[in-house]
Amino acid sequence: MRNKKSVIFRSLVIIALLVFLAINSRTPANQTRVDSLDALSSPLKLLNSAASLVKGSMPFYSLREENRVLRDRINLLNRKIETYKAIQDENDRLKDFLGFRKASPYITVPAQVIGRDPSNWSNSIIIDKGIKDLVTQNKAVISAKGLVGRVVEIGKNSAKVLLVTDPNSKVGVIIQRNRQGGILIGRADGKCKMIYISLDSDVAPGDRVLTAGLGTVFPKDILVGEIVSVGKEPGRLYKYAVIRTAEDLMKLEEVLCLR
Amino acid sequence: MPSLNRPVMYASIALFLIIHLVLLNRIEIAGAKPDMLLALVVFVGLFFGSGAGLEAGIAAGLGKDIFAFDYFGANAFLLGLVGVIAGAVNTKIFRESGFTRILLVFFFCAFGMYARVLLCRFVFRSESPNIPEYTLFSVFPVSLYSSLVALPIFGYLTHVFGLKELPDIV
Repeated sequence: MRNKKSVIFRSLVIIALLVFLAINSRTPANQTRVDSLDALSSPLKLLNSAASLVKGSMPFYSLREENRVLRDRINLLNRKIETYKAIQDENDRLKDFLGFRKASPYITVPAQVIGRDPSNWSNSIIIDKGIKDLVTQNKAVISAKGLVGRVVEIGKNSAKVLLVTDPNSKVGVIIQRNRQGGILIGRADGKCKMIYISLDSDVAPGDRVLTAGLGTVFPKDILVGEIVSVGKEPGRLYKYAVIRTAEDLMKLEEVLCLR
Repeated sequence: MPSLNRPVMYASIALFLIIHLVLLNRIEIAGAKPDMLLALVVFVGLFFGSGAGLEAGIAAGLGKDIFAFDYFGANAFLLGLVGVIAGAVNTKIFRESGFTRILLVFFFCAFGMYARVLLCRFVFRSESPNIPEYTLFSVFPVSLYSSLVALPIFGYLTHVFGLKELPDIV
């Protein structure tokens, strides 16, 4: 009898959770979570600092750190070259037009990654900057190497960034070499997939992919990554390309939030 | 059935959640992270029954829900369900065997991930992933990784919960 009661109780709890989910299923964004995350951001920052401290005490840390700084500098310079190339291309394309808008430099807020998504279903990071630091929701987040994602939830002192590798992330992109457009979606293995590439387009591994600048979230010509392979799913009227992101999003430590 | 030491259970959930948040990205392989919290929920369900499994699942799932960008409550529901099922099979299998533990965690991890697809399709009404791709790049690597990591986790949990391994019958 007691056993029967406990089975009924467990079933009721599971059903209640399912009903709660059904009511709460309009959007993944949730204010309760933003508030909880905000309250937990300070201890999380402390934990992250402690983890960095442990990492810092490892042998050859200073050499590794110097190496990392130099690599970051090289990446920054490479990114500048990319930007100049993109501007050059744009200039070539638009030279017949009388007036064109000069690409305005980005105003950014630097932020530190203090936490990672604990689940395997979504791919997001938690950063230590929020509304107080003038970070805004639905704005792009980049790194020295390229595109990282966009801000999806924001609290006073913390924010959640949906990475471009998340299956729910969708970004309008173009291939740098031939300006062929497509949509970039995330894939569970940490890579991305560019879909809706027309069948007759000339796309090859090694081609660089940039943001298309459609919409208001992602500015134009930010490097996303490089094509690794190209394929076609049976029954589809378009090709797809698997893309390796320019930034290793699994080892991200600092990011820049666009304002 | 041994009685559940709740402070130890909640402390273990907090510890595993911190590891998920701060450290697991450093041992990701091809985007797959081992699901330590799922292994904990399976362990609690197996050794302390369905009620304890449900409690551990909801607590661990809510912890995940706060830090993940997912529908709030999805992890609590799925881990709670895993805890209840793990509790229901606890007397029907030889839970002391390492191989059984690996198989169980693999099965529950895959079950949770496919149940997530069903939630997407029928509850959230959102876009569900391409199943072959999802199986190849997500379900299989995550389940395999989690099941392999489950062995040391089960060893650690057996120790902290003060459960004694039965000696082998010769």
